[in-house]
Amino acid sequence: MSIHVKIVGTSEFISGYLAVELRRFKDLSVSTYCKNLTEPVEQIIEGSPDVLILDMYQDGPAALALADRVVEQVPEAKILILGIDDYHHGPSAVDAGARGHVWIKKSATELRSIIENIRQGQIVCPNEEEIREMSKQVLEGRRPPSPLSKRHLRCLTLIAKGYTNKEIVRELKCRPFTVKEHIRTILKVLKVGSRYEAADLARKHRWIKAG
Amino acid sequence: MKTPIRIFVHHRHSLPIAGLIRQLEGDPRFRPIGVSDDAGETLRMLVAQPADILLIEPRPRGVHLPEMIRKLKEKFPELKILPTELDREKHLRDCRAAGASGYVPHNTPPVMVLPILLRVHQGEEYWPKLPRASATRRILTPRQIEILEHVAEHESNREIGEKLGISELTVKTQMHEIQEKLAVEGRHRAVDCARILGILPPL
Repeated sequence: MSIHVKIVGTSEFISGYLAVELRRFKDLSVSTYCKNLTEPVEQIIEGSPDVLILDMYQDGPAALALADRVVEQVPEAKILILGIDDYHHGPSAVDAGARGHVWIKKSATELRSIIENIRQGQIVCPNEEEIREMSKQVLEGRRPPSPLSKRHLRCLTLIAKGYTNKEIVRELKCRPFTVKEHIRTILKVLKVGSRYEAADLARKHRWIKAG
Repeated sequence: MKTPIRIFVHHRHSLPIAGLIRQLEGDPRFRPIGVSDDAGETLRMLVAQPADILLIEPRPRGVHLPEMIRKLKEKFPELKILPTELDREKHLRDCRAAGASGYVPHNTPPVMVLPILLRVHQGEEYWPKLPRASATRRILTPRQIEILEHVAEHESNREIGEKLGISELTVKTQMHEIQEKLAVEGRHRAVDCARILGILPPL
């Protein structure tokens, strides 16, 4: 018996090619539905798919909200959320009523077995260790060398989070003067005019974590 | 028989891209020659084996797309470069100015992709209109998103007003409304919030 998988997303390019990749498994019957994620639930679950894949492409919050709406109306719906840029959305996906979360870097074979598990009623969500491994793969493994010292980068990470000087002093356990000095050096080295520009530049070059 | 069109793909979403490669492999008119999501690796692989068309994601990691297009066009003038899934007017203009041959919008189903590749290979350009924004993006008006894009570039209200041909006060009022809608205080937090919500692209 074949498993009916319906892929719902906003990008026909991404969802469409995901379907192409999944169709090579003869026991999956794959359809796609690409529209706004604010469509009525009846449209989304039409054809009563065994597993519904929602992709978070471009609009993660809308995908989570949609999962919530579907489960409210059809509690037995089996939803698998496909994480596109955010590999750490697993817990919020399950919170929204999805049965699982899978990252777009997984292989088709892995996705195939996750679909099977979800159809059987399991919950599939990456655990913390796996999430750490994924973030390492994405960020740490390829963080390029920066012209700033570790201490400066630590300071810049806090600036990127929106910390004030006072809060940075508390976090780094140093004197207010030192923080000002750090920031002055950072601006000079990076040749930018403001702390926010410095933070953006560092995130762009991936010297510090994004977000 | 004609030699197949050689396609290189630079894209980080390896799962759907595997589907694209499968589609290309199944068509004798095309030959996929490589996939990568690292700018340095892409360059090395293109030097080792030339391609006719490069399909490239809208925000390749660690590089500015228009700049990368410009550099690639200098090095490989014959290479046709097609970004995929562009979603902002400014980004599209910059890529076009840098020498891209067109783009593949995110609402393009797989069945339409090969015809676009054929047309571009024959020397045509492909610049359809940008697809409609997502639901979350519609929280803000297009003008507010435009203003926020400038704020993200660290421009002052006065500079933004000059660029958009509106008064500084209008920009200020719009910024107030943006912050109210996003429920944040401060322009930098508004930009961060918009990035998290996917209204602005991630850095």
